[in-house]
Amino acid sequence: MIDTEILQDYSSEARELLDEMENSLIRLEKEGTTPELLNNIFRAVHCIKGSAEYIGLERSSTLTHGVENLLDRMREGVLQLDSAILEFLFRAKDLILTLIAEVSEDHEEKTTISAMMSELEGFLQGTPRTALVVEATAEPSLEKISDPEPATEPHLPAELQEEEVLSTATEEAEDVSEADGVEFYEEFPEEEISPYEAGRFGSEEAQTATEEEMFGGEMDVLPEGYEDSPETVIRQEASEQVDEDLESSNADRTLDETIPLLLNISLYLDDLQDGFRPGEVISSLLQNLANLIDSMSSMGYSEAVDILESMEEEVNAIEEDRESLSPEEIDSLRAILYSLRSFYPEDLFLPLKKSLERSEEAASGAALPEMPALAPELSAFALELKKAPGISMEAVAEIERAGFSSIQQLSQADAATLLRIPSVSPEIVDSILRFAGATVNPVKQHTQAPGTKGSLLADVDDELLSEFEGMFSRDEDLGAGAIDQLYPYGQKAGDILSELGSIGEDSDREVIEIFLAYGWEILDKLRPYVITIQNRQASPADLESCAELIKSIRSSSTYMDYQSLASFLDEWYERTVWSAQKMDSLSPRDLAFMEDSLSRFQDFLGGLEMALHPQAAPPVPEPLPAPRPAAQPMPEFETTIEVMPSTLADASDSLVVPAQDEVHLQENPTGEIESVTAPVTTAEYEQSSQAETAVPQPSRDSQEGPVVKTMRVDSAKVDVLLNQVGELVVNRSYVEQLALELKNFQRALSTRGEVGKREIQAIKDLTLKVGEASISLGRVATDIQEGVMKLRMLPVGQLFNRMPRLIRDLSRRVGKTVELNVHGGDTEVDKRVIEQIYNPLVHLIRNAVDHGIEGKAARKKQGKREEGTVTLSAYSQGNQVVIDVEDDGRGIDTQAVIEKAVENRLLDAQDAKSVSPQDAYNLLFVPGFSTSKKVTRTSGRGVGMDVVKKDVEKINGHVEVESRENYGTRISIKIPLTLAIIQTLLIRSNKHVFAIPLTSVREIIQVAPHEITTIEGFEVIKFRDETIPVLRINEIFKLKQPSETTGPKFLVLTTAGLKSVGFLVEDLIGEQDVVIKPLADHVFKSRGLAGSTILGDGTIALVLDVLEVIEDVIARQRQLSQTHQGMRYAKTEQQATDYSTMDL
Amino acid sequence: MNGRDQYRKATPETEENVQMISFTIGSERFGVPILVVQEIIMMSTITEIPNSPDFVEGVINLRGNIIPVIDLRRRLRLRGYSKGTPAIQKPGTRILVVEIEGSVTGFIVDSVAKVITVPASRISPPPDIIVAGVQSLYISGVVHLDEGILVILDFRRILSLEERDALEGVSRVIPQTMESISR
Repeated sequence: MIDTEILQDYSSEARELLDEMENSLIRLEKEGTTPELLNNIFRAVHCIKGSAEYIGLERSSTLTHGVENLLDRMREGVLQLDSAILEFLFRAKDLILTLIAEVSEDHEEKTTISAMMSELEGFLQGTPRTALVVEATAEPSLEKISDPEPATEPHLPAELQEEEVLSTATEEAEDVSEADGVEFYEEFPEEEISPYEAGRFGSEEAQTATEEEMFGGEMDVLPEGYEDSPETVIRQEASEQVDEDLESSNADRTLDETIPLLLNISLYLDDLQDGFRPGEVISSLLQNLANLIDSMSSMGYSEAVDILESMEEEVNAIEEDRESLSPEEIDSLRAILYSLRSFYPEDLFLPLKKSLERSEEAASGAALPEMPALAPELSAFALELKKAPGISMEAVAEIERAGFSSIQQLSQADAATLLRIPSVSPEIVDSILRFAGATVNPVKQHTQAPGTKGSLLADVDDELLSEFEGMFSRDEDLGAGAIDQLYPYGQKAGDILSELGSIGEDSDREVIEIFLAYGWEILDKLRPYVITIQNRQASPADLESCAELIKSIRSSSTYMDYQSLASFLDEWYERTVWSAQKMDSLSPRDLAFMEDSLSRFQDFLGGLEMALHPQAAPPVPEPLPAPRPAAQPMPEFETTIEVMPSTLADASDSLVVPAQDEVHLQENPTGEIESVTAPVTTAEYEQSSQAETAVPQPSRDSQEGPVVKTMRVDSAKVDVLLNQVGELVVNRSYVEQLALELKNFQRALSTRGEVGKREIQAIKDLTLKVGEASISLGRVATDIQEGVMKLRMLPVGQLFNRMPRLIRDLSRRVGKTVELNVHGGDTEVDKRVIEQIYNPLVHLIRNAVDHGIEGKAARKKQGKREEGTVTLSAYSQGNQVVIDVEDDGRGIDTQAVIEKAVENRLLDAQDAKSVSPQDAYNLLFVPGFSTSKKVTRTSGRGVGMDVVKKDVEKINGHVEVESRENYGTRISIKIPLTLAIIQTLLIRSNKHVFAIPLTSVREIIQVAPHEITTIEGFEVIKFRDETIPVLRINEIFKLKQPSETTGPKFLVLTTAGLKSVGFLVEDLIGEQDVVIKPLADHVFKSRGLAGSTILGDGTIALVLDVLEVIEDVIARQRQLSQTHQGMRYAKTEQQATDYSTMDL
Repeated sequence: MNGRDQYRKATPETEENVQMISFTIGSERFGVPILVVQEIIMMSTITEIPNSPDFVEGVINLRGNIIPVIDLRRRLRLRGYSKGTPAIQKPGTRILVVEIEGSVTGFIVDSVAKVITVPASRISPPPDIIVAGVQSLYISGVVHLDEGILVILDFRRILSLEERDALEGVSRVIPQTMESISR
């Protein structure tokens, strides 16, 4: 059971990181590979991986790990970025996002990642297989795989995935995209395979035929599909990463032909297992094997040959014995075979994979899903190790265990460990590295001939290498014991982590708290000891008390059932006791061990605390490890990073951890460490320990200091706070009003003169003080209000950042080149606005790309740049934020709109002539209206603009359209700065107090009754050459008639949308910030009211929804004028049922 | 689900006894499960809401929350209601603040009597006919007490919009933008 809180954190954090990744990817596409961008992407992926592993999301972590490897290769320069890889990265990002969505919804990862992983594997092996999807055959430049650009575009799965993400924006039915998908295929007919391929195809057939002769009846096991897939040929070409001369001389030999051999071998293995045809089988197996080795070596796959040769040896050994094979042995053979798959493209290997499935099943359940088949081989290898002299049995046991739990760890860490052992024969190391190479890094390995220890070492990444070398030269006296402690560490830390993961709701938090507190206490006590030990100043007594401390926490951890922690502490304890005995002869490694253990213990506690309080600011903000140029860090060190996954995102914000070095110095009494100037990162740790410099890990206390710039807070908490602030605002008005009343009272008293001067003075003083107090309260309240509102404000850039990808995908889909310009991304708006505005924005951008911007040819004709431009800009305008989506396309053809409206019977043909452009634009918002002649995948269904409008109106915003034919269209979304508190103008009409949002108020004028005239039954006023409809609030809301004594005096001119209307009011009360409260919508719906608010005196004022009032008035006018002009508007247009008796 | 089940659900007490608040409108006695009632307040200033159904008296400020107030007499079309006139205010008039499905609503009643404990076995299902002038669809059960009949009201039904519309005889086409109001 995953803790939902952790999950929530993970999902929001990962989403942010993915956004970041996507932006970097888009920049990568535009600007080319720069280390900075790669590092950005790497960091994002790495952070997600850390968190995913921490939570135990297997697929996400596997995938991110894979992507990380890929990125690593790119950083090393082994792989060059091409569009295939880029496309893959985009899709990987999407897939991770999908997984995250699944996890946060269903607490389970559903989408499989195997296809992605094998594709990834392909890239890692240097086989750009994405470049070879069927659709690609349409492109003439196909032979040039180095230019896979055309192939990536029509990659269907990616399209569909995007569709999934994007279609949430609009209500496009799924069947549309399906239908489009078909179209898509049609655009790339398969017949267009170039003659070149056809030729190749033929020759391949011929070859297969010869093979058939060679292997007789066995050929029928070949799957049907395999022979006639033309792309396999190309694929093979691409996958040939061997020397050029080799390639040319063996150009006609393909990987394909080795498939039957492989299949045969696998079938023979099956036979062996069944005990069918023994003897005969083994010789056939060997024959096939020999042939395979032959083919492979002729193609230059030297490492494959190595693998196969080792297999041959093993089979030979079996033959000599003439004994039947144990299932384990067969599995190990299968595993060897399976490890060859890295040389093959995915679908070629498919049949084999199937037949090898058994060995997969045989593998331990704990094995990584991607490489489980290697596990048996590992165990075989462990057997071999046991025979080797000089290795302790524990080490072998560890390796065996590791083999089953994580192949990848073995490939690097274990090889490293083993290499440290002088007594291990080169052969053994060879096999380990062969393994590591086969699973992780064959590309590298094959560059050098295996066999000697030295060259093998060269294959391991440089960092490891230097470490090994140092080890060999220095630690010759190192016993098996030392090895023991080194390796199991990574393993243990991993276990501890998994223990952490299990802290769920079921654990007793209180007990953990106690344990934690105790743990920290012990840690603090231990720290000085470790430092003295490191300075070689410790007495045996010190060490003994140290051991006592460890022992006491050990028993607690046993009680807590933290088994691996306990066993780790056990070891630490024993080691300390042992150290106490031979105080003088402690090696640097022993010292490092102490210090390492301490930091590990600290990490554990930190991790535990994180797991317990995922929301709390992490106690140990660890600086991000400097991106390593070589392969991933050794697992033992990696774990220290993963303990605090969610600190990483924060840490990336504040990469610089200040003042840490100083802390080191202060803490160290001897000053021996002064040479260390940089904060100790996990990555650097290795080096520092190698340099025999003992560096104490920064203490817990010192690490609480660094500033965490951001923190995650549940938005519900902010909302609660905001509500309270609302109350505060109301109370402030109340106090202000009381102060005013007191002042009036005091005035009244002093004018009446009934009270003595002294008393009056006292009251005066009091009044003054109350007035001051109310002012300062007001100031504080305003500050708090602003502050809390700012809490909810997010830069609109968050939203804009998601758009480049959209533009990119859309423009590719419709075959236009569109550039996106973004302005004002730092404009801040309310969080809810961001959430609400996303879908409308996506829709507008789709419209702009799909309909707005013309095709390249049309643009050229117009004399425009071929490249279309979509501009997204955000800026503040008074109390609202405007977001513009602007394109430089063809503009809105008002004539077409009108025609379509007439066609759809939204408009009478007669009226069509008198429709203003603005009215025509408004027609766009009628549901189901679309001028598009054909429905495309992107848009054109007519569902959309009305939804855009509705979504925007939901947050009290409105949409405006401006367009000029052939110059472009601008659609502006105007939204209030904040949703909770608005500035209003309070007015009184009769006894009722109304609040009009200040955003809509344009002007207030005094009017005399004679200025209001009536046109066709509507009251209007002429004001600066404008004729503005006049509304009486009493009338539109059917309130009781005002007592005629006062009569209206003021006209409040309001604007909403593009219309203006004046409200006749009797009295103006003033401006006031009000907190809008919902108006009991579970009981009734009320037109024309945005909500209600509580005034200072506790009475309730209703807040007008000016836009709605205006809309209703317009609708009403239309209805009334229908008889005169016969103009009919859309039925769906709002009907002011509630206004039926309204007298306009 | 019939009304009775609902009411049981709302009163997770012992099977035998249910606690009710009894109140009167005119001469009729009504009951409501005690857990549904959030509080009972005196009449306070009610702000009229334009364009609202006639039984909606308006809104009140209940400690910073704005809640709608419904004249129960008019809502149930009980004897003595008249269209267009505000609720009759007498010394005993109270507002029953009821919380249903997270929404708080006030109901004006003539007086609130007391909390009574009724054995569950004595609650009979609502009759098919009109009881005490109330349509049976608003009734979740009936209890025969010594003093007379106690009608247990189903406030969930009383509040449901569809029922209201049916009652009003208005088939409203609520424009979609309506949803945007009162935000």
